[in-house]
Amino acid sequence: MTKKVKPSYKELEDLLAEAEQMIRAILSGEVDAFISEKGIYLMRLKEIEEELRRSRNELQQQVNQRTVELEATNRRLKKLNAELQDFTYIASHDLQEPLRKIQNFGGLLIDLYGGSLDETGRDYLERMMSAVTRMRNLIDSLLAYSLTTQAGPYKQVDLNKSVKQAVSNLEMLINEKQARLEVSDLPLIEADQVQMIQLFQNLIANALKFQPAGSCPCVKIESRLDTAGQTCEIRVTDNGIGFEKKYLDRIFLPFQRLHDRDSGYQGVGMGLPICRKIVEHGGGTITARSRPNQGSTFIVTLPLKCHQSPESPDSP
Amino acid sequence: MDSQSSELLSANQSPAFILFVAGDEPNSRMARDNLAKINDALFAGKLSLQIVDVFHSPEKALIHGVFLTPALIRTSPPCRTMLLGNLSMETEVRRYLGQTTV
Repeated sequence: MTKKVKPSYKELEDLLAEAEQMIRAILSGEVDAFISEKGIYLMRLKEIEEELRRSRNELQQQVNQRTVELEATNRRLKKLNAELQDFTYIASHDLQEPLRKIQNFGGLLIDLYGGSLDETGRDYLERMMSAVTRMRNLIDSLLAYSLTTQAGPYKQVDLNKSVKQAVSNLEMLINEKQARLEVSDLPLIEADQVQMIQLFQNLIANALKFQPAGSCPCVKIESRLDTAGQTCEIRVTDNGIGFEKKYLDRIFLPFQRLHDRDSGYQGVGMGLPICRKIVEHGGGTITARSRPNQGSTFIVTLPLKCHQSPESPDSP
Repeated sequence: MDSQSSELLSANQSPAFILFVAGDEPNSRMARDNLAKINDALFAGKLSLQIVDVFHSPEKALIHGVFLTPALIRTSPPCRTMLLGNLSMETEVRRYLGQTTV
């Protein structure tokens, strides 16, 4: 056993002085190596400090430069986006007028002179009118798509009422298709009321549209909140024809159709792109799971609260 | 050489020092230079001074209880304390060297 030696006052004083000197030397960066039985460790504190300071300054300069560049790009993109929106709106709005004239005069042509045309002439005229109707649908969709960016005031929206309104708007089609709808309880969220109705209307219409011949559509709408209570997930499931996974990105792009016009599936390919725009403007996401002939599930995730201050709850 | 230093070296004892350095690291280089200047200016270069590079002889440092460099120690007559740092504080260095006459 080691015998304990009581140090003298002088020894303690010397030890303290040495410790103080060590601390001073280390803090002032006057030492450059630490020696131990395991090896020698360099203590280039000042150099490291200087290097760190230099790196930090360089990084800060880079960040500042990038921020300036990003801000400039952001401003440019915003301007371009605004111009594009204006252009889309004006183009689609102004295109309606000449088209309306073609439609009106085409209608008069059929009514007043249809009888004097032979079968081929009438066929041409009918084809022309059908193309006009299609173009009108395209323009209406384009207009709707460009207007989707302009969300109204965000307020508390009862999604149950939004679905109810969407179903009411689609009543004729639902009856015609003998569709069955199952809607579970949906939450209240802060959103644009009109756009929420549009969202459900497009998703339900999509489910009704892409059905195998002779089958009755069955659409199920359900929701659940995330564990943190920040977002809600809404699932719209149908028993339709579905699609292959590789088309997932395409279905949300404007005017993209997976089926040609002769397939019997009507539409211009704007329903889902509008849904995506609505959802993304609300700070959410939309995706889908599907397999050919096994139906589809569209999954919408939306925040329960948005950044704008909500107004009073909506009325039906 | 000033009178104080002459007086310090006038004793019969032959004081000896070791300066432990870490190769050519900045503080070690400064300590070497500072000590050489003081040795030349105050002791006419006659100070018994050994320089040990811990990269070559780490065991010597450990034997003398030196674990930080640069460190100046007095080996003869032995002294409990050592001087740490780049020896830029001339007064302290002179005082430490002056203790040799005790």
